[in-house]
Parts: sequence; C-alpha cells; structure tokens
Amino acid sequence: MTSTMKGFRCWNAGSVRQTVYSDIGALPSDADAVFLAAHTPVTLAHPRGEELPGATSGERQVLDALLASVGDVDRNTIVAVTGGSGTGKSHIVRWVNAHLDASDARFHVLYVPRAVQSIRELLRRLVVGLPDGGGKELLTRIDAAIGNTNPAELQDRLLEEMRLALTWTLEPQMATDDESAAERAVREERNSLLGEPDEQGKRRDGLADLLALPEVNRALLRPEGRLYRLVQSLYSETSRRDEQQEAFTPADLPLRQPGLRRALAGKSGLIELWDIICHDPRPALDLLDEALRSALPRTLGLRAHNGETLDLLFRRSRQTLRDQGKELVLLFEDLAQFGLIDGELYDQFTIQPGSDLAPLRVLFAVTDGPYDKLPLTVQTRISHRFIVNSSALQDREAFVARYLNLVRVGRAEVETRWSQAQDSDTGDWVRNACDTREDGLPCQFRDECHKYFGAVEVAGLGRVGLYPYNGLALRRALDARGPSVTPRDALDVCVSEVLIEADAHIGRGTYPHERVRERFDFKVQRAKDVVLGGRTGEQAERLYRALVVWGDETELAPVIAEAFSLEVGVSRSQGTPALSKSGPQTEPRAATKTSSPSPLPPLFQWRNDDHLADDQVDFYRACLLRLVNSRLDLDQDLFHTANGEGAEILTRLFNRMSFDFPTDARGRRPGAGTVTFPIQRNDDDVRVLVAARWFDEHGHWDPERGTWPWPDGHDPVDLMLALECRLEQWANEVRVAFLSKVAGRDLARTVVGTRAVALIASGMPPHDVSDLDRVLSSPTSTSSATPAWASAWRAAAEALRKVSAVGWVGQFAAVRQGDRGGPQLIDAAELTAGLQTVLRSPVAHLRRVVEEFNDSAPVVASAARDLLSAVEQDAPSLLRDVTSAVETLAEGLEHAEPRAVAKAAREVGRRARDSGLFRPADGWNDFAEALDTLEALPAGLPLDWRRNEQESEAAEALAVEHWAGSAIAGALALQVVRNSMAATRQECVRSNSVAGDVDQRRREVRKKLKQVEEHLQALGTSEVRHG
Amino acid sequence: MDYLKQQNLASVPALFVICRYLATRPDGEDEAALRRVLQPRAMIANQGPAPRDDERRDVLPASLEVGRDIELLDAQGSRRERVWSLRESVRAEVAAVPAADSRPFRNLVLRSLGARAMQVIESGERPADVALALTWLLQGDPLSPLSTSWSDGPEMAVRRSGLDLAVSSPEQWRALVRWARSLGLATATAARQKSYLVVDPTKAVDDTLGRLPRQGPAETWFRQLHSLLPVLGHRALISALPGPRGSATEIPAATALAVCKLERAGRLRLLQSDDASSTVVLRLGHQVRQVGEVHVVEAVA
Repeated sequence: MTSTMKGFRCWNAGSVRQTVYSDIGALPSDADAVFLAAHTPVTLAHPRGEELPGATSGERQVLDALLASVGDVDRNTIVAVTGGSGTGKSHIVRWVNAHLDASDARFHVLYVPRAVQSIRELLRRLVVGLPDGGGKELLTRIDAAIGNTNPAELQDRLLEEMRLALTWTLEPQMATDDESAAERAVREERNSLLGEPDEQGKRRDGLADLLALPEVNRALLRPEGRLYRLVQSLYSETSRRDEQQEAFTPADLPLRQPGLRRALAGKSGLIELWDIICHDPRPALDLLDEALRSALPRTLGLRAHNGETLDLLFRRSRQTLRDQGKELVLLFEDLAQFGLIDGELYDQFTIQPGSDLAPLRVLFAVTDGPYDKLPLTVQTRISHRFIVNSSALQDREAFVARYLNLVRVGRAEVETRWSQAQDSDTGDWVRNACDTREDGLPCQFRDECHKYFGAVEVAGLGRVGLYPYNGLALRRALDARGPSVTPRDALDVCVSEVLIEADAHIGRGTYPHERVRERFDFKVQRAKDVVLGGRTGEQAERLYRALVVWGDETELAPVIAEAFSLEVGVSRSQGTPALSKSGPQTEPRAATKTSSPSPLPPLFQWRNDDHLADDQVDFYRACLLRLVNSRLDLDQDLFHTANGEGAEILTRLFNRMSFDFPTDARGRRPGAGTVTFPIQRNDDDVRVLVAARWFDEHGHWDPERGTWPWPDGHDPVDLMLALECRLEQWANEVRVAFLSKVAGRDLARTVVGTRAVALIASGMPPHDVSDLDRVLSSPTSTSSATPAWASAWRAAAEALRKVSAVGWVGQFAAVRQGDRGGPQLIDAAELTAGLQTVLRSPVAHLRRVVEEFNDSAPVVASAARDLLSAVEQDAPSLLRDVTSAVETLAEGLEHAEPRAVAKAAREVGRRARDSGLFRPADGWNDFAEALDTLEALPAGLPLDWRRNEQESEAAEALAVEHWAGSAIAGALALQVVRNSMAATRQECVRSNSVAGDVDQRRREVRKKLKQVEEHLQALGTSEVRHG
Repeated sequence: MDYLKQQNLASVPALFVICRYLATRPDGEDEAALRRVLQPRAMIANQGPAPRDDERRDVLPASLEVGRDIELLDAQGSRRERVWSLRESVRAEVAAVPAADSRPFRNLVLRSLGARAMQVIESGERPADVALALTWLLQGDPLSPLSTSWSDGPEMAVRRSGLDLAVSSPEQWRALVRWARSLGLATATAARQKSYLVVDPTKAVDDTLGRLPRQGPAETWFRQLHSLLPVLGHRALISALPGPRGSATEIPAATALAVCKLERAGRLRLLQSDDASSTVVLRLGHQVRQVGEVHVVEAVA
C-alpha cells in the first residue's frame, strides 16, 4: 500500500478498452452488463402516441409503449425513437433489449444491433432471427447475385434496373387532400420527370430515356460515383452505414458536359427536360434515389418472382408465430442500417395482423432527417414517437463519473454482478469503486481524492470520485468538445483517450503530457509567465498544463501535484522586479468595474501555440509601429520623416511588417533592407504586447482607470518597464538603420554637392558654386552649350530640375519647428564643408553618389549617373575644342587684348568696305558678328591653359567648362576675321594694278592696313600652319 | 531670463546648428551673416509666407539669446551689430559632436541650463522659467503621463501647481515639451487616441554617466547626478518651485524610472548596502527599493 497518491491509478488502459464503447454499434451484443453499468438515463419527449397508464419516464416508457399492446392481435405497434446523431437513441433500443425477457412466451424478439453494417450481414441477421427457419434460398440467391458478377457488371445491372423502375415501376404520385402548394409543386415535378406513358404504358421522354444516353450513362457509372461506391460496399465485408445513406449528387449527372444537347438533337421533349434538370437538378437526383431504392432489391434478388423473398420470409414467420400465439418483436438500433432495402421492411410495417399473421411490435431508432423522409405509409402507422430531447450529458459530471466507476470496477466484475443481479432481481447492482476498492472497504485515498479532485453524486452509485479529473479539468475536457458535444464525443475523448493516456503518463510521472492541450479546453485568461509565477525548468511546461487545466490558472492543490508527480515549488512574480513591492501592491487587486472585456486572452492563447487572428496581428503591428515611431526622435538630429523623402526612406526601412510575427500571421514577411523585429511566442514578447496594448488604449499605467480589466498578475511598473525598454531598443535599432541609410548628414551633403556639380556643368564658375545659398537657389542657366558639351549640358539641366536641394536639405539637415514645421535653420557647417569637398573632386563625387545612394535617394543617384555619363562622354571633344581654341587665340592674339584686335580689324574692314575692297563681298555681317564676339571675350581667358594629364578628362572638362564656351567661340570668331582680312588683302593687292582717281583713298587704306599688317601676318601664318 | 515666455521659439536643435557653425568661425559672425548662412534665402523663399510674421525672424535671435544666457555663446558689440561666437570653454566639446548625433550637445545644453539655473538661485534670483518648468515636470509620475495637448490636462496641472509664472499658454507648453524632449527628459509617445508626454530622463542620465563616479554610495552618486543635472531634482531647484512640494530627500519617480531602465540595459548596477546613511529610496508606482551603491557598468567616453 502506498501512502501518497503519487502515480496512483484506480483504472488501467485495459479496463478502459474492455468497458468503454462510445459507439453502441461497436458494443458486442452480449455486453449488456457493460452497457447497463454506465448507462445514463435520458429524458424523452413523447409527441406522438397516447400517454400510457402509470406513466413512467425515460427508457422505461419506451419499453412500456412497445409492450403495451402485447396481446392485442389485431394491431401492430410501431415505436420510433428519434433525435440528433450521437444523442443516445440506440442506447435506448439497447436498453429495451436488455430489459426484455427473452424467455417471455408472449413474443419472439428479433434484435438487430447497430454493429451489423453490411447489407448481406443485415439480411443474414434477419433470416437467422426470424423463427420460421427458412431463408437459405434467399441468402443463396443474394450471394449468387453478388458473387457471380463482377462489380462493374453489377453496377450496370443496377443502372438498368433503375431505368426499368423509372419506365415501369415507379408510379406517379397522386395528390393528397392536405397537400400544400410546395408539396404539390414537388410532386408534379417528380411526375413530370417520369415522362408520359405511350399507348403501351411505357413512359417516354422522361428521366429513363435520359439514362439511356451514353453521356449520362457514363457519368452515373463513373468511378467514385454514387453507384460505384454502393456496389463496392456490397462486396466489402464491412461497410460504413453512411454509404447506404448517401444520395445522388449533381456530380452524378453530366450537367456541364458539352455536347449533351447535340446528342438530344431532334428530341425536343428530352431537350426541354434536360434544360430543366440543368437549371435545378435536385428533383431529378431525388427521383434517381427513388429509382435506386426500387432497383437494388431487384438487382440483389430480394424480389424474385419465384422462390423466397424477404416479404415471404416475414409472412411465414408471422404465420408461424400466430399459430404459436406469439407476437414478433423487432428491435432495430438504427433504421438507417436498412438503407436501400428499407422498402422491404416498411412493407411489413404496413401489413396488418390478422387471423393468419402475428402482430408486430417494432422499435427502431432513427435520426430526425431520415425519420422525416419515411414513406407516408409508414409515418401514418407509427404508434409512438419518442424524441431524445435531453442529452445523457445533461448532468455531464455524472455521465462521466458512471464511466469512471465502470472502468475502475472492470468488465469481468460488472458482468458477474449483472448476472447475479438478474437472478436476484437486485436494483443497484453496480458497486461504487471508491467505496469498495480495498476488499470492500473504501479506497485509502478516497477522502483526500474526493476533496481535491472532486466527486459527484451519481444515482444508484453514491459519490464517485472524478480522479484523474477534478471539476475544472472535467469542465475543460467537455468544453473542448464544443458546445454541441454528444455523449459519443465525450466518451471517445473524455473517457477513453484521456484515461488511457493518463494511465501511462501518471505511471511514468509525465502527466499532464503535451497532448493534454488538445484533450482539454486550453483557453487561458492570464499570461503564461504569470500563471507559472516565474517557475522554470523541465517541469515548468507540465506544471503549466496542470495549472491551466486543473487549477484554472491560479493554483494547484498539493494532492493533485503529488498525484501527477509535480514539484510545484515556490512561485515568484514574473520577471525581475525593478523595485521590490511595497505593502499595498502585494494585496490582491480588487476587481475594477470596466466597460469592456479584456482583449488579451487571444494573445495568451497565441502564447500557447494557437493562431492569432489576422485582425489581432494587424492591431499589434500598427500599435507597435506607432509607439516606436514616436520614440525615434530623428528630428532632434535634424532628420524629418513626417512626409516627403524622409518619410519614404523611413517607411521602406521600417513599417508594419517589420514586426515579424510567426509564419501563421498574414501579410508578406519583411523584405530585404527592412528592419525586422521578430515577435516570438515567449513570455517577454507577450509581456511587451500586453503592455503596448494597455498603454496604446489607455495612455497610463493605472489599473483602476482602465476601460478593460488590468491584466491579472502583472505589475504596472514591470509592464511599463518592459515596454519602455523594448521601445527604446527598437527605436534605437531603427534610428541606427535610418542613419546608416542616409549616411548621417551625407545624404544632404550629397544632394547639395550633386546640384553644385550640375551647376558647374552648366557653366557656373566653381567659385560661385562654393556659396551655399547660390547652390540652393541658383536657377538653371539659360545660355547655350557648345556642341561638344551638349549632352552634358542637357544632363546638368535635368539634374538641376530633378534635384531640389531645398527639399532635401529641409528634410535631412534643417531645424524645423513652428506652426507649419517648416525649415528654420540649416546645418550650414556640415553642408558648407561638404560643398568644399565636392568642389575639390566633382567627378569623384558623382561616382560616389551613383555607388552609394542608389537605394536611399534613387532620383539623385539617377541624375548623378546621367550627368556623370554625359560629362565623361562629352569631355574628350570639349577638351579637344578647348585646346584648339586656346592655341588659336594665344597664337592669333599674340598677347593682345581681343577687344583691341577687334577694334582695329573693324576699322580696316569698314574702310575696305567703303572702298569696295572688302572680301568676301557678302561677308560683312559675319565679319561684324565675329568682331562682336571677339570684343565680348572675357579679359582673363587662360590662354596659357594646358591639359593636366593627371586629372581625368571629365574632371578637366568640368574645370574648364565655365570659360570653354567663350574660348571656343572666340577662336571661331578670330578665324572669321582672319579669313576676311586675308581675302580683303588679296583684293587690295589686285587693285594696286588698276589705274584710277582713288589714289588718295588707296593710300589711306594702305596705311591702316599696315597698322594691322603685323596681326594679319601673324594670323595668316597661323592659318597656313594649321592648314 | 525667461525662455518660455520671452524666447519662446528658442530650441535645442537651433542652438545645435548655431554652435556647430560658430565652432568653425573662431572670430565669430554677426547676426546678419549668421542669418545669411543658416537661413539661406532659398530655404525661406521656398516656404511661402510664414503663418506668423515673427516666427522665422525669432528662431535665430531667440536661440542666440538663450545660448548666451546659458553661457554657450558670447556676444560682442552693440546690439545691432553684435558678433556672436562660441565660448572657448565649450568649443572643443561642440566641435567633437558628430553632425548626425546631437545627444552629446543636448547633454551639454542640459548641464549648462542647470548650471545657469543654480547660479541664478545662488544669486538670489528666480531661475529661468524653463528650468523651473522642467524641474516641475520631472517631479511627475511616469505612470500617469500628461497629454501633450495643453488643454487636455496640462493646463489644469500647471495651474494647480502654481506654475503659471513659467507656463501659461499652449505655445509655452509646446515649447516646454520641445525642451523636455530635446534634453532627453521626456518622450512624446503616440498612443491610439492621443500623444502623451512620458517623463523619462533615461537619455539625459545615460549621457551623463561618463561624468559621474564609476561607483560609489548611492546618496553621493545621486547628489552628483543632481549637481550635474539639477532639473532632475536638485533640492535648490525644487525649493524654487511654487506651491507644495514632494520630499526633497526622495529620488523622484522619473529618475527612479531612468536608473531602473539603465539597470535593465546593463548600464548601471544598483546594489543594496548595509550602510543606511548612504542609502537612497527609489519609488516607482507601488514598488520601492533601497539602493546603497551605484555602479556604472560602462562609462561613457
């Protein structure tokens, strides 16, 4: 004898298997003792049939109703017990069978338990059970019908019989007096589907004719179709009951198969019929069911024209019994067993007894649906209908307790005691195991077991202990089966599975094991770490399950812990308290009146591996995003993310999906480049979510002021700290990632720098560009570029258009405050320094922008890329032009000021023109324009410039761009002047040989010409040298 | 000098850009030059007309005045042509502040503001309104934060405390919130319905750890903390608050929150001690803890 309950069991898995049968169909027919030992009386409604004298209740009144007319040889008695599936209807029939005296000379009992599953076995039961002793021929014929054909052939025969039934056997239904409009419509539809009889009485243009179509035929015979499954079940040793309760479905007709109407071409009646069926196939499918019901008995030979039939066997038996002065009692645990052959049975119900036939006393159980479909001929003959309207689970604890007692007593003893009880007519024949476990004395643990695990009063047994349940655990076990738990559900799980598993695990000291979560309702109201009170270690999970199921998330009685080999230990508050608790806090918190229920249980369920609903995930993501965003404080470092580029960069980096719930949550996972915060199913993360939700909805940490109850077991300070620390950590990670993305102040510097380079490429002198205000505000240049620099010019203009430095600086390097939050001051120190760096190496700057900022500032990077590409493309030709221009100007001007040269040339030209000597004669305008260009040339053109081979061509091109245009234009102008002067000179020389009266003027011209001769000479020399 | 009432638009970020720029100008700049470079015409032109005429004009001069008052800046010359420069005593510290991380600078402002307030008190005058208001704010309970919206609680709380002399309008309250956030004394936390100002000087304390003893008796450690950051609860500043005041010997809940967070972050260790004379009491909500010694785990450079 053990002194503690550790590992104690008062049942074993074997006894459970021998005694607990949730499906009455599986209970052996000779196991009445087991059945009765745990049978729970039910209450029944009695809507049909006269109330019997001495009105009894429960199963007894069914028995009384069945036997009330015994002795009345003129009338049959048909008693139906109806109710939902699993409500215990079959138990009632079984109970009646167990309480019928088989030796009563007044009747012969034929009992068909639900265990009989196949049609062949069912027929065999009937044949064997009827008293006449015949039926061998019938059975042989049925075996032959099935055994001598293969399934495909039998299926085809069945279909042919259906067609015959539709053509000949099934009769049009007649109207009844009390027929409703809906019933009339259904009836007329059915009759219409049967078709119209021709002169021979053969129905035509009906469903039978459609069945002859190959397409319809193939659909009905298809594998996995209704007929296929039925025939397969006939060949099986066992079959499921529902196989015979199935019905034809739309899939059994080729409703969507193309070509059907073509096949019916010329048969307008059938086309019309097919259209009706396609529109609403249900009436046709019902008629097919009816046809099958008629066809199956014929196909199987139940209705042979010669020899034995079921009807014949029944008649002979009733005749025999009549002769013996007996009545035939038929008990069917489930009428649905008869399925497609129920017609044979119903025929018997309608045959009234008489001088040659014994009366029938029939009791059957059937679910509500099939009951309503019983043929009218049967419906009208039902003497009594009982409806199971109270589940055996009305007193759920007592229901389970009966089985707990049964498994403790065991099958062998139950059967012995039942046998003894029948002999001695004892009433309460089942012993109470708790009171008699120790050789008739109470179990050694009874008192403490009943105290801590609980016990319930069971009629006929006394107090039965709930072990291994207690009241809470049993409630959770039953609740886990759902609101419409049936006795069968309860037995399957709450008794069989739970007890079998508990036996093994309690013995090993591993109870409650992991699967307990599935067996019991594991809904929780508190956080796991609160329930565990800080206990950790290998037993923590097991302890948690016990605390939830047996302790309702509060505490576990020591006896329960001992029985389950659990070391409860000392709990402490969750987490490490920031500070120790002072007096008032340690007192249990009085319940505060709140207006809403707590929204937290789904979160606690999620902690226990349940799915977190999408709307919950969405809520927490939005809440955390809001809280973290408000902690970023990027504005303190002059970064602004409320809108514009700043908002775009931050949102790409950090968004709702950054909070990465496990894979069962909806939405895409965080993308690459996104800051990710995994939210795990652990105590810390759940605590943060609890805190976030509380603060988000209340804005304080006062449990007394909540709109929903404060999360039990949590301390406000600890919750606040958990949230504060996590928000701080997350905000810091986002801040670091953001700064990395914008490279600190570099992004602003980069944008300013890119704009500066674009301005240089547009021809602005670098010196001017070093002024920050000019870079930010300088409008795009309106002057034009040299042809060699055209691409770069366009790219620069585009960059200036696209890259608004004001916007970027305002977002990434400005103090913003005031009513509109506009930029007030800018980080000039950083931007000016950056600008200087860019001006030292503008090409390197563009290259860096392309390489480093494509992600964070794609518009800027794109503009920089285009500009860099254009500059590199145009630089060689620009440099060639500049080199040439500088050489031209340097040589042509010979250190003279361009303006002076132009002035002299203009004078000579004018005189030559006036003398008619200017050449080309039509070139004066070009000449004058070139002189204007020369005169406008800046004074400081670097005509000593030489290409620096150490620098890239692009860098060199940018460096000279602000004067390159002038130099090239000047060189071209100088060329025009030189050409004109050369032509004019030739003309003057030629004119010297011509006599005339213009000697004086010629002398003057010669004098002026001489003044510029040196320059012209130089220009001419240069021209000759350059070809 | 009152900041909230007289220099309402002064701000720490504005001081940040001013000081950083002046750090590169050893000879200083006059206000017009400062305005040209810190407030480029292009930026102003881009914004359109200001909602308030004086808004743009005031941010710079207001911040300059505050910078001078807390002795970060010097101003030489006549009023119209004053040349502003960074004080030599802080030049190196300002120059070392990274461009994109202003926390060291903000801590410098907080220390300077506190020092200035103590200086004024010692001279028998009333400290700046912002110093008083921050001190009052930090005596609040972090578990019951105020709304950031003036009319949704703060107005009543301020009036009840007799602090109208420091804050008496929505604009001044907004300025106070701005100061508190910038100086690492509070966070503006957005909940679903509204935003709350949670008093939490964790950042301020964290940024000051490098100037505090690496370890020492709690009483001494907290006294030094208050000496560096008086607005956290220096007795003299608390005494300057109007109306009834809490215990000057107890560490305010906001400071308790900060050290608890820093302990959780591994930055501090708060130890018990047998020496009752050096013990301080940390009270936060219903939780109370006696701390005898404070260890700074990782000193800030």
